[in-house]
This record gives sequence, structure tokens and C-alpha cells, in this order.
Amino acid sequence: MREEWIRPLKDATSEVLETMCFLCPVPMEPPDVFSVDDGDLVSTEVHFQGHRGGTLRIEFSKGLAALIADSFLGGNPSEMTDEQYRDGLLEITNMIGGNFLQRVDPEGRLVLSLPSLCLSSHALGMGKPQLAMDVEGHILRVFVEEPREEAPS
Amino acid sequence: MEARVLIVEDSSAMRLVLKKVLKMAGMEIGRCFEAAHGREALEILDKEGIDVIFTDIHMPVMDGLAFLEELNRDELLKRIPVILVTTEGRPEIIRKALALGAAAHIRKPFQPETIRRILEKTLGKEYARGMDQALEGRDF
Repeated sequence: MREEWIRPLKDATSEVLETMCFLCPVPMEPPDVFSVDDGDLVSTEVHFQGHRGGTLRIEFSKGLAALIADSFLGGNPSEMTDEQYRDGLLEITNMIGGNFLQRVDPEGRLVLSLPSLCLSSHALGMGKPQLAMDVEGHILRVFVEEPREEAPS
Repeated sequence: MEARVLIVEDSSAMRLVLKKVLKMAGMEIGRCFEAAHGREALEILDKEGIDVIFTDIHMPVMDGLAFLEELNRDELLKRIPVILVTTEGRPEIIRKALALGAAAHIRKPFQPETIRRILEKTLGKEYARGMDQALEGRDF
């Protein structure tokens, strides 16, 4: 990923989590080895396309995913439906993706796809994340796949 | 004055959050209707009187722009204030939505203060009062 995209990625992630979840993520050096100490992983991703293509992916432990979804929805976790939980994480991903694109592409040439979610028992392995943040003791990892130039038609 | 609100948004989580934030922003909601897309919203509008509509742009079945076009075709429905709440930031899309009759644009993520300001500007203060009290007692 371009070096100049790291700051916008950090700012977009912080703004969404602070504004919509009242959480204060603290940027940290991405760990070389990622161990999930509180359960399986939840991963969300959103693609963007236009004059360049790419993917933004966020990895949370299940504990962090629950914290973010609970904070976003602001209700009693026991009353939250699976659909609301899933939609909450997808909406957070959508907002981070949209906010990030607005910062790196203010002309609006890049378009976001609908976000998707997958559950995994292990890190999906795209190497070291471009951004890691400490969110109340949990590690949030954000990846942006290197955008590729589209072949001329 | 209590408003009858319609939220058009494909994310059930965002519908829930928006409803809470409207209350936080001091909006007095009489009844809140929800639709997952524009087509569902039109079915609700066919049966219910609505004071204000909050709509996303990117939705399946019928997106926000197509929904605005449908509202524009109806002399009564086109008078209902429509506020966009979206991650969409492309200037030409926002311009198109405003040209189709949207009254205002709120970008996600949003602060309750932003919502209140837009509500006051769009609907008048009678719909958006008591924000201080709402924020003091917030359960969000």
C-alpha cells in the first residue's frame, strides 16, 4: 500500500470508532506475530474500484467484534440479534471504507462495493497489517491490498 | 411537535442507530417506520403519512436515487423533506440527489450535533428541541 495512505487509513478508522462507537483506538506498531487470545477471528472486507482497484480488510478477535458491535448499537448485548450484530460490523466497515476513500480520493473516482463478513479460526494471512490499533486491550488489524492499475481497454 | 419518520436503509444496525441518534439529537418522534430499500419505502408511503424521510443511497432493489425519482413523480410525496444519510461522498452523486429533491446530506459517520443542525435547518426548531435534555439522559 502507498505510504501516504497509512495516515488517512488511521484517521478514517479512528474517526468512525470514536464517533459511532465512543471508542478511542490507539495506533500501535503492527505486531509481527498475531495471536488471537480471546477466540476466533472475525474479518470484514470491502472492495473499491474505479481507476484503481483494491480491498480494505479488517480483522477483529470475536471479543473486539462484540465490543465494537455493542458500542455501535448501544443496546443490551443480550437483546442484539445475529443480524444486527453482523450488520453493525458491516456498517462500521462500510463507514471506514467510505471515510478512507474520501480522504485519498476526494474527486470520488473510486467506488465502494457492499461489505462482506467472514468468520475464521485463524488469521487470514495477508502478512503484516498496514495499521494496527489497540482498542481497549484488543488488537484491531486493518489491511489495504495494494491497488493495481487496471489494464487499458 | 412529534414527527412521523421513515428511515430507508438496508442495514438493520444503522436503522437502529439512526433512530437512537435522532432521539439523542432531540427529535420528538411520534412514530418511526423502517424500510430496507426504496420499494419498501414507497409501499409504506402509500399507506402512512410521513413528515420526514431519512434515506441511504446504496441499497438493493431500489436505491436512494431511484427512490427520489419516484417521489418526484408524485405531487404529494415530493413535498416530504428527504435527508440523505450515507457514506457516499462522490460530488456528482450528491449533486444528483440534491437535484432530485433531497433537502440535505449527512455523511456517515455523524455526530448527533450534526443531525440536530440539519434537522433545524430542514424542518424547523419545533421538530428538534430538547437536545441538552436528550444528551443528559442518553442511553446510547
